[in-house]
Amino acid sequence: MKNLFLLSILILCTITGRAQIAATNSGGEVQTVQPKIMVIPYVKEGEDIRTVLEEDVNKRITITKIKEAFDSRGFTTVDFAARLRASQSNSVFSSANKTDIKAQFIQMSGADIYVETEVNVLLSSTGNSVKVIVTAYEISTGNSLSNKVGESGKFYTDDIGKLASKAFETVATDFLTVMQEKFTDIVNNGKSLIIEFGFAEDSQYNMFSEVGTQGLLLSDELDMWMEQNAYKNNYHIQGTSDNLMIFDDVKIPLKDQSTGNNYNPNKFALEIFKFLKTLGLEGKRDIKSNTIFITIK
Amino acid sequence: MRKLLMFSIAIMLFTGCKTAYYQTAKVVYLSGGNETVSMRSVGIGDNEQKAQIDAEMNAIDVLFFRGLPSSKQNSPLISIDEASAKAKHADYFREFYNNSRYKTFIISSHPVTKLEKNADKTRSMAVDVTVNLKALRLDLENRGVIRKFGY
Repeated sequence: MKNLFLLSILILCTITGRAQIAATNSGGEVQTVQPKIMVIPYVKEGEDIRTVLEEDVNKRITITKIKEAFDSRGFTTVDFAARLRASQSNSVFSSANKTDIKAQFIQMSGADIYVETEVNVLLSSTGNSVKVIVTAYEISTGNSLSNKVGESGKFYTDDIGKLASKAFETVATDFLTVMQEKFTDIVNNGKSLIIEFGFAEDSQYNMFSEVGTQGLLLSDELDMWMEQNAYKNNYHIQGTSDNLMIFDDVKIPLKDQSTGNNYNPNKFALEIFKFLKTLGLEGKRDIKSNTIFITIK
Repeated sequence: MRKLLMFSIAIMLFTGCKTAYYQTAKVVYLSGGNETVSMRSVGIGDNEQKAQIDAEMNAIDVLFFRGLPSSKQNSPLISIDEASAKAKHADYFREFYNNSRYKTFIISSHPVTKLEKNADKTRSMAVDVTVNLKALRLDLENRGVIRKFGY
């Protein structure tokens, strides 16, 4: 009898064997995963982002000032210069096309949000001034989070860096306040994902194939599933064709509504994967930041 | 007797129709930066001490729930509406105002006029109040009244 009891406990431990390892057990405390924010300089077409900063100290000063503003609110940003050096040493930039380098860099940086900063120097006999344009974007969706133009006012000085700092300081609080309002909206209404459904080259299916037990079109099944599972029923279809269906804005919560743990695109992709299985479909999923690519075989 | 009854009803109707009356905030921006903000605030009270306390509370209330135009804090520190914020965080606001905890965020407070009688028979006084804005925001964040920057 005793052996049976011990065996039962052993089986129970094996079944429920996903207990957190002692070294990382926080006693159920969950800390929300914060977005990674990177401050980058504005780059005109044909300019090399790698040399823009090295050649212009004023741009470096402005970027540092913006990072300081985030630091003052207790938020750590991804260091642009350090990432740039790392990517150079890793030979990330293979393309000779300079405009592609910015896109490549943003993709590989691992940042969720980037803050682009443009410094415009106006020199005149009645004094010099600087305008700073700061814009924050969500990388995956391109949603704008905050935009401000700061002006230093005219001063008889050649210290452009000082004027740039002054220009940003005039809008720093407003800029962060607007961003925080957008963050609050994300906390309340979920964050945006892009989900693209496509097909493998040799797939026998397309979006208008009848699937599942009800014999509905695949595109309708996906639409109905999204309607049911998007956070607060908030989703938008960009378009559907024979071989592609794009949901350009699907909201998912930051926290798992049942467990309170952090929720991420990978977990949502898993649910889609399980749903496809119920329709008798096999799929492959790729996730890049907040974009999910599902390829149906 | 009937006239008396009619008169009583008329008085009850008049008093029942009384609309809520709010004092104007009477707080204007003087100077400031990202960390502090100075305001001229008008407080009402029977004596100078009460008027000064009212002016200080007015100044902080404006920062909390209205935002101060022309200053860097031109939007309210607490973005949800005043009534629900005060109900949700009743303990915080009770300690903050009733126990004078708000004073720990005031860097300076100087009366700039004498206590003067107003047309509505109240007495008021203008006070220049400087608030430690950065510490106030941090306190709201640490006590969970507002969220920290980020998600």
